[in-house]
Amino acid sequence: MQDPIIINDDMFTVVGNDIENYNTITRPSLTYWQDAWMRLKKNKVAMLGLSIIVLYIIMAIIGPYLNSMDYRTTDSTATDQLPSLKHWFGTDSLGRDLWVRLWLGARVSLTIGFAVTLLNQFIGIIIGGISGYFGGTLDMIIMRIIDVLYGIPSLIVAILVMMVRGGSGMTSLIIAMVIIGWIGSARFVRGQVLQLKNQEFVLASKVLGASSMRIIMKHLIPNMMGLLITNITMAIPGAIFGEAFLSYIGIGIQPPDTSWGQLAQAGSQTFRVYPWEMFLPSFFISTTMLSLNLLGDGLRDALDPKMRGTSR
Amino acid sequence: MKKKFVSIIALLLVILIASTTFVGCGSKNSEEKGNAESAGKSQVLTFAQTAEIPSLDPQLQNSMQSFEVTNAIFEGLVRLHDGKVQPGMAEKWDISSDGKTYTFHLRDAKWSDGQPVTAYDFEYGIRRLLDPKTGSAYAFAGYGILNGYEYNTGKVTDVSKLGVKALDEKTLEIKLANPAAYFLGYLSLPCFMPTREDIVEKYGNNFALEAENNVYNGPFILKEWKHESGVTLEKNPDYWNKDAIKLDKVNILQITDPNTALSMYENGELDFVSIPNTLWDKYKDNPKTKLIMNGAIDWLRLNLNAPGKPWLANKDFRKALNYAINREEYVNTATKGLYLPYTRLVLPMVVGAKGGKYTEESPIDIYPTTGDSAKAKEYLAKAMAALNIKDPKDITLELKFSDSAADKALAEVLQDQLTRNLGITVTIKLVTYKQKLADDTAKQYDAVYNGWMPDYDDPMTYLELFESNNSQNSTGWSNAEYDKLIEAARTEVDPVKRQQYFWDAEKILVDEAPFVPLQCRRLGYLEKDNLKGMSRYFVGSDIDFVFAYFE
Amino acid sequence: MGRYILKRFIVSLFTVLVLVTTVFILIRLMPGDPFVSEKMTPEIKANMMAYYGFDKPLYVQYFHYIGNLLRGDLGLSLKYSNRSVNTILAQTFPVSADLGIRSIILATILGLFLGVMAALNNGKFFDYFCVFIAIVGVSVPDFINGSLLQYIFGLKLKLFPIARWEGFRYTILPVFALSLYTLAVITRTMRASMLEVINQDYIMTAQAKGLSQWQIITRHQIRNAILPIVTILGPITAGILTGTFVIEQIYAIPGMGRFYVSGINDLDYSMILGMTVFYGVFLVAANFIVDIIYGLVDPRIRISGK
Repeated sequence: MQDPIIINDDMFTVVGNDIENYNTITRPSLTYWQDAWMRLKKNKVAMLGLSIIVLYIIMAIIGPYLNSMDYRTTDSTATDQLPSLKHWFGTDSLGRDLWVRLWLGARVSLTIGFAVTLLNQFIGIIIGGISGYFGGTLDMIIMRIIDVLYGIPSLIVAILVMMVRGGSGMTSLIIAMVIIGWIGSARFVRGQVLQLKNQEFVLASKVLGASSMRIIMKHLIPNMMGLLITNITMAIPGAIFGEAFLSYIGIGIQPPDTSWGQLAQAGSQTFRVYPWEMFLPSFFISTTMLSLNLLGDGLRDALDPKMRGTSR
Repeated sequence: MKKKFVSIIALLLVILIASTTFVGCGSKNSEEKGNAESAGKSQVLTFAQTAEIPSLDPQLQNSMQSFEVTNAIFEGLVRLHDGKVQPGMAEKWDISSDGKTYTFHLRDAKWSDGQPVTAYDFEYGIRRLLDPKTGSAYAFAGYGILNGYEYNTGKVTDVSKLGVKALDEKTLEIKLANPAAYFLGYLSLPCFMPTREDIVEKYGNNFALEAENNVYNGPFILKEWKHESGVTLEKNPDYWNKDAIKLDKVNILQITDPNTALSMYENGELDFVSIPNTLWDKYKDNPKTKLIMNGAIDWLRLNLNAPGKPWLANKDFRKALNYAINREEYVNTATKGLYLPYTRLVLPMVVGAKGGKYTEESPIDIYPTTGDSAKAKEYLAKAMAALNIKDPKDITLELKFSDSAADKALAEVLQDQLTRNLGITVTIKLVTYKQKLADDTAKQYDAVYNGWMPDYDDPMTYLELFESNNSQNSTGWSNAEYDKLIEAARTEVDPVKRQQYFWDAEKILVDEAPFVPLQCRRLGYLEKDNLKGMSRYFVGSDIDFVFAYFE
Repeated sequence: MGRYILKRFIVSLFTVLVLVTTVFILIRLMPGDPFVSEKMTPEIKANMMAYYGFDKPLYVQYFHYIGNLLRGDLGLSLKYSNRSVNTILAQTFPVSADLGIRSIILATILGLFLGVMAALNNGKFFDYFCVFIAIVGVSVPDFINGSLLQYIFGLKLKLFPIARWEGFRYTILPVFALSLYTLAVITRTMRASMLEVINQDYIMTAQAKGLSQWQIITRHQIRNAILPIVTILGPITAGILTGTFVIEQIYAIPGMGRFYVSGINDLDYSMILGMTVFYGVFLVAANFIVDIIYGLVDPRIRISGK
């Protein structure tokens, strides 16, 4: 065994009794979000991801106007062309300019990807949070409702939404994808809450008299932010391809409008002859995912309450 | 507790992995056997179908996949091969002078269980087809038979009033409601195949659901039916014309993805394969590529009574649509030249009265296949003047298409052309296939894309679609003169006069334009060089391999 | 524990009933009907409706269906004349399940391994390698990776058969193609979850206690980090075991995945309902099992304590 540690006066110095600065906090007062943003800015990889996404968003807005091509004019003499000075990304199987179509597709895909994922997560956090936090019968009922919703074939829901709304388009598509899309994240959040709610810091907060709302908002959600963000970055490609699948069965974006998912799907039919028609949209989808993931990792680190105040 | 859990998981994993490997080893042997078999290939044909065969019950089948198989494992009174009627189970037949009574004399033939094929089997088959309780989707094929329609719809309940009678074991008499020259070839349809009453009763609801739940009288016997995977046919040693059959075995695999089937053909696993429409560009100049017209013809059907769209009731506007489309450019863009641009209703191959083709003997070319934008604008202007419309943009038209990828491309090109050539506002609406059909029946469309596969080799199969009271005619177009001509053709025995009626009727139809004819569908395919004797014809079974052989 | 399981079981049965009823109503609201086709006439359709009992009032059909369901009879398919949905599922489910089990095993083992390794090598090359794999896995949809694998390894390199389901060699490409997505999800989730756990206080406690690194990783980190994986594996398993449309189609595998799409395209009511019941039972059972595993894996949740 070790020698007993002897504590004596030499180990301490008197700092004095400075009444004036008694209540000053030396660390600058930052909100949770300011702090996170500060840490994110220092993460070069994450900032690269963010820049690419911002670039794509800008291009989705201005890209189609950068050359003089029209997105729907077909031309039997210019089908399936390789990239050229006239058609920067070549043409599709109907002779339409792919540059213009890709950026128009970006509008649809990015909007759907973000809107659907964020809505799903938002609803999922609320319902999953309630279910997991309060537990008991309420939890049981919510989870069984989720089971039922999970079991309904999503195609049926999509077709019915289209029918009820009497038409299709971006809004129908988002509604169809959110109606059952949120349950995955609700299940996930519930699992997390179940795990976190019995941890010591929650208990401590409870003992100090914090309301349920405060515990959920200030403790549980920040603590699962990391996994949640990973979840979101994984869900966005799912939404982008979900859109392609639904558009394929007639709900959603109607031709000649298009999306990345649809362009990739059309390209996959002819990839052995015209590979670029598949690789171009796939490249943009993949780089979006890559950037989102890099950003997501950075965000996870930045938002982790346990890393607060540390800088790497 | 912890350790126990970990070890249970570990154990489970080991079992799963081990079982996976065992399963693998087990089936590997059979696979090698399969390869060895095909290596010594002599007369074994292998090809792919795109979907599971919905049914091999002769009276319940209702799809191309079923036709291709039933045509080989059963034989009706006659056999249709390359469009020619050949004797089948009937050795010879007499037709009464009024063309309404057919008497068939059956040959000595056996079912695969050794029983003789009798006229009663045919009688039972046709009665079963038309019995409303059978719920056969193909019952309409028997409506030409005397009291066939009435019996199927419950207006006649006495089955003996039906125009089908077995006079004795070997003689069958069929009476028609109206004379029909095409009726003989029609009898080769699977729904007219003989069916054994005792077998149907023996298996009940399971009749024809598995290979062993039925008996066969065709050139081939259904040996194995692996659902969702494929069927195997073997040569029937008791078939009356067995010397004409060269193939020993036929494997029909179910490969849904056309690209997969193409890869398998390129790998030597299939003997012929359809070229996916999307890859037509790559194969169209290939010397081995073959091209057939599969009989389908497509058009846009216009709803003359579409609410709030008075221009659709205007003949000039409908003609403007027909002139505005450059069909050559349209098929070259959307199908890379695979489909044949077309501006009338009856398919080019339909047989004519004077020994040639109907469409050559009775030409109609009101609309040029390259379109005519000057005329289109002229007719549009006339229509706008009549309707008091100033801006063509105020004219809206929604094209309703089903959601297949191929249809989408067609819709996009049509929309582009109509918008550019007429300046009207055209939108596309993709819906599920079922919804398209439902909207069509409910007359909820402006313009719906659909087509027709012929049932028999005669202009009637197309032209009766636009009769006022035909259930297929959802356009609301009705023309007394047209109806009169079709009705006259129905009872006319003289083929030349009959053809004149058809021609006059079709001219009225194309000029009145309740529809926009677009194209005849063509299909490209690749076939091994040493495969001979395959028949691909536009009516009956699409693929007829019965007399095929390898050199 | 026993009472809890019994209660959960009854609730699960009720859940399936509610699911069936909901879908029963929803499919009748869909546009079109099962028998409409290009050549259908109203008279023939009436005959077919009568044959399948669709001419009766909807509530009669419903109770008839539920009655049959309780006897385990899922009814006759409308598309495949006279074939019962039971038979179709019995023929196709084993194939889908076989394919599914193989890919889940592959995805789970590889995914856990990659996820743990990535987390332990946080910020190093191996970490980025794993992240890359995960991103490729999620961002390349199955219709692309399925076709590409088939084209490259089947047609061009001739290493594996192009399609069909005839033996072990035939399983490799589809299993790999199918597992990519799950693999990616598991890798990513495991990595994130591990990183979360590494910073927890009890890990520091364990370190302070002087446990070896290996013990800490296996006993504390992985065991605690695996919980989110268990959550996501439940539904993924139910989904994958009951077939996947795209991969089965590309590789011509005689599984049940196609019926999700074709059943709805054909409006084959009994097929859709049969699939729903089957999938629903699977899902409910999977969640049931997950709930129980939760209790075993996570020392902080004890079902018996409720």
